Amino acid sequence: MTAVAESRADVRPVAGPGGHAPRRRPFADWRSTRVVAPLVAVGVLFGLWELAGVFVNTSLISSPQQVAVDFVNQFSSGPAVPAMELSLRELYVGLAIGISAGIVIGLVIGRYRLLDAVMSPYINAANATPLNVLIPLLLVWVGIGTEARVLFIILISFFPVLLNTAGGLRNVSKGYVEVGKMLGLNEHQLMRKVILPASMPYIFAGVRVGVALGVIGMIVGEIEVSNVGLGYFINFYGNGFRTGQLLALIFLAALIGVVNVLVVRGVQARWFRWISAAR
Amino acid sequence: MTSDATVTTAGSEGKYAVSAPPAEHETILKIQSISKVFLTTKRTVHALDRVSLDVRRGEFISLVGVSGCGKTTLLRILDGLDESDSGTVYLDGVKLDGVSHDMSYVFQDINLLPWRNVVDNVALGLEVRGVPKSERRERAMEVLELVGLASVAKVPPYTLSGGMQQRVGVARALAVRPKVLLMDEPFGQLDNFTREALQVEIANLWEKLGTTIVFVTHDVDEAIFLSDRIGLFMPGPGRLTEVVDVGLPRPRTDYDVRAHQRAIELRSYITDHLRGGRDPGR
Repeated sequence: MTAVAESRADVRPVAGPGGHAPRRRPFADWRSTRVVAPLVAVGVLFGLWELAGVFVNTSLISSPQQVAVDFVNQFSSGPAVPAMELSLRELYVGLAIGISAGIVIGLVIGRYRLLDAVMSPYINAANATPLNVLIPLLLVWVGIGTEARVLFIILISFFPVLLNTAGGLRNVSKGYVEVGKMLGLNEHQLMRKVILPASMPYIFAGVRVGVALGVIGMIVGEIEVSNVGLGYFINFYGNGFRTGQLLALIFLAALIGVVNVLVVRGVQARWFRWISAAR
Repeated sequence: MTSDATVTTAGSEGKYAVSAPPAEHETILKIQSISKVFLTTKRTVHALDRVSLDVRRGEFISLVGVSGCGKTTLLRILDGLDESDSGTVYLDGVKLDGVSHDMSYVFQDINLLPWRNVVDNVALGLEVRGVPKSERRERAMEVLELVGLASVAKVPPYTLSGGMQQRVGVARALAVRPKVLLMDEPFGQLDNFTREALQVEIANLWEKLGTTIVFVTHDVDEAIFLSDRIGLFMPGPGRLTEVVDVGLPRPRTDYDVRAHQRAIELRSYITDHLRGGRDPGR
């Protein structure tokens, strides 16, 4: 009986006019979930890492504090700034060429079914192959240097953009195309005013993947074929068991990847708001 | 024509021909013996079998029939979205080939382009007709005003309700000032209240603008409320078996039409006819 009475007392009255709204459950608010949960996750990681630093040899893994110090030192007195300058220059040249070529060729292939049929074995094979296997070939062709690394970034960012663009064109809603036809748009107008904008969600998805792969290509290219750039120094510190510096540069590389993908997302959110809002 | 004239037919095969329509009607859209067969791997579908119809200038004509009787196919052929296997369509005496700039189409799936705001959706048809930019905006705003949506001109279309979206769909079709407006079950996906409101609105628009409207629906009441004439479609193969005159006074209100003796007779006649499926005479 008492239990019943207690639980009765627990029942909150329904909020009427001027009444109190029912208390929210923790994490019911989307914003707090999105902000707090990842922060907690990162905090736990750093805690465990700091603990690991106590027990494990520092040549295997540095403590977060040491990495933070090394990170700052990299910028004040280390090779990070010139290395990053060189790496980013190659990254952006490679991405600019790889992404624009991917979009243009993707548009052409998506438009012409015959071309798509002819090209698809090559494209699918290239897309399924780890493109690192091409690095020795690139070296044979253009030698060690900027050209090989930029070419590799172009190659690695090109295919996801191409596949997404071509796929986007083919997946444009038939309804949109019919609206355009009904209103009297000719082939060219249909392409420019309906099909291309309708493909933008796919193209953006391709560019995001292309940018992320481009950053990977930048680092891999430098690790394999270089004595300059971030990748080279990552390799260099690794070989010397200088894990503090190594992890500092790994974080820098991760940061470059995250920031660049965020820029793409930002462009989409700013100028193509309908993509996320319309669905 | 007296109001007690029962069902009249435009075709020669009608059994209810009482009085032929007065000869003063001018034909705007002449549909001659349109046939269409869809070939699939499994079977052959005779979507349309020698459909002929003269649409009169300024009239509101509905095509009713069960699903799959070919009425939508006919509408799509009229607009050039599909091609017929045989037969011809003349608009004001000119044989149609492909999509006509003088007709526009209101889809059941409205498909407003989400990357354009409402007024730019409405203006899309004007862009390809070489209308200068300032005039485009002006004309698009005019039709939006007409459908009562001028206040949401700058808004992205996906923020609108279904009923509002369909009014934008109508505005988009009207903006190009078509001679004939083709409407394919435009209110099919809307709730009853919204549908009734839009029926009244489209009737008012039609009376104001005088545009010829060909309206496809499977809702007999909707057809009676809106139309001057109703074409009855039968399936397998899809054919136009009869065209009946509605003959109800205008302007109409929903209550009048529901209660009107003529409407009641018409409804049961059309329903019986459509329910019959295959015409026993064939």
